[in-house]
Amino acid sequence: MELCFYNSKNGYLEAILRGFRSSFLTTEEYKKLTEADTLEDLKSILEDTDYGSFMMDEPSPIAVTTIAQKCKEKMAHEFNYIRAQAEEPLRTFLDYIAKEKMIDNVISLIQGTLNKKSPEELLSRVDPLGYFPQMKSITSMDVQNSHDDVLKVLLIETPIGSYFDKYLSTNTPNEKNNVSTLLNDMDIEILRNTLKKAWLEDFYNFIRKLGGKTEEVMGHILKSVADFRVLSVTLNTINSSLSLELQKDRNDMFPCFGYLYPEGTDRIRKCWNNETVHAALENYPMYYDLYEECKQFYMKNENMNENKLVDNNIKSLEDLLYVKLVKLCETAFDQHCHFGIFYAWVKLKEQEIRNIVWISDMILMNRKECIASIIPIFEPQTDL
Amino acid sequence: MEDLVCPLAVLPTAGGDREGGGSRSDCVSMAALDLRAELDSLLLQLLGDLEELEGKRAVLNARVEEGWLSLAKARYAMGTKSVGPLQYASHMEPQVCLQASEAQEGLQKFEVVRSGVHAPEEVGPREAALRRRKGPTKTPEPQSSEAPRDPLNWFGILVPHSLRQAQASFRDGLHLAADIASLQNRIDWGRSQLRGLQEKLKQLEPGAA
Repeated sequence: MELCFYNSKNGYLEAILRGFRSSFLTTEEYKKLTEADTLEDLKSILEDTDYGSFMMDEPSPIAVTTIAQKCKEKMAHEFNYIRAQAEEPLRTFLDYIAKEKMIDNVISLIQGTLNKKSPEELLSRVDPLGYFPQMKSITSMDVQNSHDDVLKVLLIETPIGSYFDKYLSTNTPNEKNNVSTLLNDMDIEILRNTLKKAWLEDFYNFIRKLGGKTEEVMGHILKSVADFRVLSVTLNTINSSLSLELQKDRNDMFPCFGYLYPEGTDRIRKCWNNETVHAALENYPMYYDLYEECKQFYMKNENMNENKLVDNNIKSLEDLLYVKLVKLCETAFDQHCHFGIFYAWVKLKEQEIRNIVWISDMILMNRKECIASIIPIFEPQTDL
Repeated sequence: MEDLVCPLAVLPTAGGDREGGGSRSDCVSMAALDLRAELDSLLLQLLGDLEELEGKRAVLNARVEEGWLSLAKARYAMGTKSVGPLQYASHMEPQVCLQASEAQEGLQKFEVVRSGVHAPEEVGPREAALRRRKGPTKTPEPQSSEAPRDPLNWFGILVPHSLRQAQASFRDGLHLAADIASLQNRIDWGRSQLRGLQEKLKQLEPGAA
């Protein structure tokens, strides 16, 4: 029955998305990209892939940020094509995917406006997936002084207003003064992470209401993403000189779900250094192994010779988490009739764009030996 | 030149002019020997400095390369939008200053030191003694009255470790750049000293030159 009802509403869009699945760059195409000597060569090679002539109108010389932006625009175009034809509840599901990027865009616009960047520059750098018309008004706000306008825009006119509202109501008593504190003194990165936490929990609750195979697949992915967020926030704060001050803020950013929640999260909340994190993860073999693999990156290596401060062969936690996320998203395509493939496709496309940007940076820096650290997507399995 | 004339040459001798002339050439030879020894020592010092300069330049190149690579890793982890010009204002206060001081023999030495909290126009750029002040005193704008923010915090507090590594690499590079400038000054001074000594030697031993 689920198959029948699903296909009548969403079969066409799932078919379109599975068509998009075949457009990911293959191993041979990555090999060609690594042979490029300049960004112009890279652009020519990408024109022979599914990206086509997406940078046809861009003047030379091309910048890496332009390549990234154009790749994102192509992805957003395909995503919006699907979203425009989606019925409920898929429409709301896709809106949740876009909201994550809206949070990033709003924070970037606020940050850029505080740094007195021009509106044109700010709007040219927003993520097209998270675009919504009302965000343009943020660039013309007087974020330092005009509290009422800021409140109106942030809390009412943005699709993510409920997350701002939740943040303000749980953290600070006086609404108006909060906004001035928010934008002047409060660290914007902590605000972004708190909003992301609210979004993730909201998305997870929506998935649970949907039930069925979507809950099974997306629930697993979102729980893993929540755990990844806990690990990432923890390791980035304990290695900071402000670790003790940040501890309370850090603990407030941990999502209230996931495989680590609640016992693992409680143990991690009390961690203050690498050893305590090590001990907290003992009962979670997958995360314990992950931490073992990357802990050297966070410890000073005394055997380094003086000419090499950084060892490029040691992977950071973010590198390993991206590998895990790619595997999760690839697995989502193994089942039919669920919404998880839409989320998985977006995440895999983002990884592909990260790969392309990394290759571009390494070409510019003449460090082609570092290109091998990209994460291949849907790599053919040769040995079973 | 008068300093190089052997005092024995001015003393009356019973042997007449020949003995006096022989003593003078001995004095000149001794002076030349001393000069050669000084020249050798200076040359060795210069070669040592050049070797040190070569080493420091290689380390500086490595640090700057590593810094850029770590920045690229940070962009990979955080996203291209999160590590870029939107995160910092066009106007920024320097965290460190270059302090020039005179070392021995009049050589200028450079050192990178942390700058104070005051605006640049309140502290002379040539002041050798830097004063660290605890809190805001006279600055008009609220932003500059606080201690200068760590540039790492432009990108947030929860930054990935690769961004910290990038900062550490560039900081090391900055100190190395100051050392290299001091070393180059010393090498230039050494070269001019070498040329001077070679000129003196030429005058003492025109045939040998």
